[in-house]
Parts: sequence; C-alpha cells; structure tokens
Amino acid sequence: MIPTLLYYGVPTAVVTVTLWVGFLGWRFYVEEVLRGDRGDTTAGEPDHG
Amino acid sequence: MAILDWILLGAYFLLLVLIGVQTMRRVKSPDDFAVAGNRIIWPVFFGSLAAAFLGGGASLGVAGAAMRDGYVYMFAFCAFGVQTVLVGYFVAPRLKNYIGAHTLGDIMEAHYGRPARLVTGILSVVLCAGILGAQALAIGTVVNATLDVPTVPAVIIGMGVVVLYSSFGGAWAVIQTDLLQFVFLGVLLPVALLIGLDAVGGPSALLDSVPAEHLSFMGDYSPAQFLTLFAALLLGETLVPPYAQRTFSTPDSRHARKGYALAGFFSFFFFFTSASLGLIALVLYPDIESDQALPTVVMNLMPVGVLGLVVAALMAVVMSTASSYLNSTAVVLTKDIYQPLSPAELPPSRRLTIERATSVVVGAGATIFALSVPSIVDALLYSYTLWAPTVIVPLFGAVLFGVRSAPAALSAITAGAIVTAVWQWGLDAPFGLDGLVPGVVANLLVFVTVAMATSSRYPRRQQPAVRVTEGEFA
Repeated sequence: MIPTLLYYGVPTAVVTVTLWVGFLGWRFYVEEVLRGDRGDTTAGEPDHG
Repeated sequence: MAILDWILLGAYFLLLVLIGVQTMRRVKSPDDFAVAGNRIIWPVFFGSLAAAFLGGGASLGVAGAAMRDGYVYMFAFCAFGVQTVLVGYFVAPRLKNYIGAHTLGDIMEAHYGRPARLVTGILSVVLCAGILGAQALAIGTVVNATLDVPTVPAVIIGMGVVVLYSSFGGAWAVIQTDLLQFVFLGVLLPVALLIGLDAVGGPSALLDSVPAEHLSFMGDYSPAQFLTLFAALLLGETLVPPYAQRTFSTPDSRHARKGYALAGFFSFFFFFTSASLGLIALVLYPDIESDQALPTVVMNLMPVGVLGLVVAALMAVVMSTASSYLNSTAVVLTKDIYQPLSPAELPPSRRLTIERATSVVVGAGATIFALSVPSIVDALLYSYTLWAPTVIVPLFGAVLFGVRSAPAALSAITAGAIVTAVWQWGLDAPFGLDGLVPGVVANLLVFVTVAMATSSRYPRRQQPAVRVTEGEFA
C-alpha cells in the first residue's frame, strides 16, 4: 500500500504542481512579455519581511 | 527516434529561440538583463529556480548514483533541498532589503567595501564557469545517449542555443525559458517513471527486484562517507550567484521567501523521481554504465512522440541550468569585476552591451572547458569546493546580522580558501572528508573572532534597507 502511494503519488504530485505553476507562468508571460504590461510599480521596493 | 520525435525536439529548440527573441524587447537596461526589472512573481520564481538547480546532478547524477548505490545517494542529495528551504525562509527575503542589487558583490560591497566585491566576483565567476562547463558536458551526455549524436557537435549546438537566447533576452529570456523547461522536466520525468514502473511490473515488483541495500537509508556508505557527502551537498551550492540573482528579480521579500522555500520542498519529490528512475534502470538494464541510467530508460521505454518530448525534457534539465549560470557569469564579470576596475562609471547602455558580449564569450569558453571535464557530478562537486568556505559565512553575517567588518570578511575568505585548498588538494582529503567542511569551520571561526575583535571600529548595521548603488563604500 505505502509503495503504491509513494511511487504513484509522488510523480502525480510533481506533475500537478508543475502544470499549475506552468499555467501561472504562461499568464505572466502573456501579461509581461507579449503585452508588455508595466502597470505595477512595486518592483524593487522592499517590504522588510 | 522516429520523425515525429525529431520534429517535436526541433520545435522545442525553436520555442527557446522564439522566447529569446520575444523577450529581447523587454531588455532595455542592465536591470532588465540582470534581474528582469524586479518583476518576477513567486510562481515564476519558483519554477525558474527549480529548473536552475534541478540540473544534470539532480537528474542524471542522482539517477546514475541511485542505480549504483541505491536510495542512499538520494537521501544525501536531500541535504540540498533542506538548505534551499532554510535559505528561502530566512535569507532570501532579506536579500530584497538591498534595493537595486544585481549580484552578491553588491551586498558584500555595501557591508565590507570594494575589495570584498572583487573577491566575491572572482569566486562567483570561478564557480559559475565550473558549473556551466559541467552542464555543457551534460548536454553532450544526454544527446549522445539518446540521439547517438557525437558529443562534440552536440555540446556545440546545445550551448549555441543557450548562448543565443541568453544574450538576446538576458534574465527575462533565461527565466521564461527556465519556466518552459521546468514544465517539460516536471511533467515528462514523472511520466517516464510511471511508464518505467509499468515496465517492471509495478512498485512491489521493483522493490522485490533491487538489492535490499539499495533501499536502505545508508546503503553501503559508512557514516563518515554519508555525512561528508551530506555536508558537501548541504553547503556546496548555498545561494550561488544565479539563485541570488533570481531572488533579486522578485518584486519584494514575500515573493522571494515563498518562491525560494517552495522550490526547496519541490526538490525532494524531484530527487525521488530521478532516483527511482535509476532503480528502474538497474532492474531493466543491469549491464549499462550507471551514468547512462536515465537516458537509457527514456530511450527504451517511451512511445513515439513522447520520446522526443522526454529527450527535450532531459535537454531542458541541463540547458536551464546552463543558461542561468551563463547569465550570472556575464552579469558578475561586468558588475563586480570589470566595472570596479574601469576608471569611470559605465553608462547603462554600455554595460548592457558588455553584458551581452560577455555572455557570448563565456558561453564559448565554457563549451571548450566542458569538453575537457570527464564526469558531471565530479565536476559539480569540484566547483562547489571553494564557494561555501569563502563567501557564505561573511554573506550571511552581513545579511542576517548586519556585520560590517571588512577585516573579518576578508580574513575569513582567505582562511577558508587556504584551509580548503590545503585539505583537499595538499593533503588529499584525509579521512575521506571533503575540504569544504574544514574550510567552512575555519571560515566561521575566523569571521566570528575578527568581527568581535573589530566590532567597536565596525559597528553592526541596524537599518534593514540599503540602496546598494549608494552604499557607504561606493
């Protein structure tokens, strides 16, 4: 049971996280690179966190 | 490979070049070339950082070592993930306090003066060139094993594409191509594992087929051997220049912390995937050389179409790391070495031109270097050796505690380098202990002692934000 969970669960988790990050990255690419949106002016300002 | 596989592989290379061209118009200043104008939000930072550090060592290296030694190597490699999570949580957010920083040399100069920037710059370039060379060599290994193309033209073509998009689009291109490469490797390597599991008859059959010591925590390693490897991997690649540069490219400390720490967590899962592919290679192809484990599994198990994409994923693993180190080398050479030594302040447009030209020259140099280095993991560890025992303690002292003692930083860097060199190459690493470990100890002891002795002359900095372009030593 544990080996099955591990060997099928880990690759499934990796694929899921990757696709989600890829989707957010694609949205960012369209906004920032293809449309060249520079609306946000927070760049470079620290929030001391 | 079938024609469909070649078409998909060719499309992948074209996509990389297209991203390089599309991002070129975003690169108008050294800020854009080095840190993508501080616009990189945490999910993009997460993916690009993961793609940068999940290189040849974490994929081909871990799979090969797992085939040879078992999961013990993966457990040792997890030291890197532990370090990444800790740095992400405690250090990365504080790097964003240095407004306008592009390199670690910026921080070192703000605290310890210009000599510290120069030394950090030189050490950064040595490290980056070493790892860049190792990745270039890995491109040759992957292509040679999967496509049966000779190593020399494979390295030249692969590095040529890397140099092309890195010098066109700078950090924008490197980060965006990293993200694409992250998606390739993060989807296709787990898919390769699932197909491989099916080929060996499932997880239980896999576990029954490999020797018991391949599944144990320590394997055949002695405790000293394991701890040495663990320490080397824990300290060796700590906050190396490309990771610091990625962190500078985020808008604020929240994005820096989240992206960095989550990339560390993700690496544990990735290491398990790579190591398990190594075990599958052991079961299915016990007679191959261990460093061919991953390419062999991929070549023999993947169906038409998927095969081309998996080869692209393997290329992505090494090319994303290579482009990150190439970009860092160019930025560090220009900002930390060339600019401080030039008589006048360079105008931004000229600096951008120099950074682009340096990318091309360094890429060509690394390709030549790569063709003379024999092993991927050995080359990586070789490059690691001098970084942690020199820069990391003074850097953390500055970032976490505001230490400003230049004598402490410079003497600690010198002590760490000497002890490491003598231990590693003079004494040939007694007790099997990597020179990195005594080097870090010497570095820490000297730094703390001298910083305390000089604390009245160099009081610690209290304010959290430093504009590095107007640092007190600048």
